[in-house]
Amino acid sequence: MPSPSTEIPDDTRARGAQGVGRESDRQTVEMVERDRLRLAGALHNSTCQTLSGLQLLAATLLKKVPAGSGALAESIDVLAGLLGQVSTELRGIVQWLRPPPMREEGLVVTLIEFAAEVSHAIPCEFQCDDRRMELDPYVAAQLYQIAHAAARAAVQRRAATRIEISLASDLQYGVRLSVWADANFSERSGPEFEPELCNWELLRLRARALGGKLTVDSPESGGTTVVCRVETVGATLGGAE
Amino acid sequence: MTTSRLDSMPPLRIFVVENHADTVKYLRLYLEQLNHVVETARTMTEALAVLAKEKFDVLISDIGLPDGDGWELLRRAGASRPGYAIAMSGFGMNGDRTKSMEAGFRSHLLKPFMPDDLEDILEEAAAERAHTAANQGVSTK
Repeated sequence: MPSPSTEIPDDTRARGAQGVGRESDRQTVEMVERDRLRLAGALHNSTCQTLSGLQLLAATLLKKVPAGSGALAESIDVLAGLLGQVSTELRGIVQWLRPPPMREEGLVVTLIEFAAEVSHAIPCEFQCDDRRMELDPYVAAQLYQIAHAAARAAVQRRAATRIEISLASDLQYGVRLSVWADANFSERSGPEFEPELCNWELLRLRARALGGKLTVDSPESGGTTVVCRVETVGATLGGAE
Repeated sequence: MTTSRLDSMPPLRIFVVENHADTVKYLRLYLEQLNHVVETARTMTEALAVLAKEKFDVLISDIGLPDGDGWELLRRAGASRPGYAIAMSGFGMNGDRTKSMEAGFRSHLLKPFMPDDLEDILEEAAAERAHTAANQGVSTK
């Protein structure tokens, strides 16, 4: 006997499709994540270590150069400087691939610490309207990755003089993460010769995996704002005492 | 030969704990060039055995070791730990740095690091050792 057909309301179908799409995005993010960690590990365990050795060797040679061999000493000094530059660049790439892990205390504490770290390069302020906000760990991890990548993209452009990261929560509209800088750091805004280290597509994918949306706004008046809005699924808001 | 800020400094006894062969090799070369006396170990177990028998002024330890980590090494070394300890790790993690300070390390170097940064730290270690020795009426020469 044929089973009676069930009419599924359109919004249920849409929600189902959204759920499947979100799961697929989540799996893609996880796959990319694993690949990035693998590359970061390989760079750290081989290239970074070898560079450390080379830097030490150059410094040793510089101390061994006999007095009066100005040109040789100068060459070794240039070599040491270039090795230092490569080291800094490589460390930067490794940090792109594998940001420092989140603090056990959660996203807010992690972003406070991250803003302090960014401030070594460019003044960076972190604002949060609810410091007791507790998010689902997966949501928190993705938001952290987005904040990290966007702020580092702003630092990479070098034109910014101020960065602001903000995290706001609202029972009605959800969680809103925003990264603003007073210079254009959006996709393909850098010079042609400069590598685009920020994977913007991955940031959009992270937002979609949360059922959220990522927008990048670079008005002609200047500055860039990256915003990720996510429904408050799994969020506990601090609220009133 | 070019002069170093440390040329006039009495040599330090330095214990390097690091499992990466090239890093150990060139770190030893560099430190010996600065006239320091260098011993090395590749694992935490090996390091603990050496520390139980010998005294050092400075410990330079990688945080990631094959059989443990630098923090555990310092904790387990107990009274045999050198007076001045320097941690090294590959990533700029504030958490690592904080953990190193809490474990008793005096500095935390991020690899690859600039040799000048290490010299600055060793200068501080040497000054501290000289100060301690002066208080105890001991010559460090």
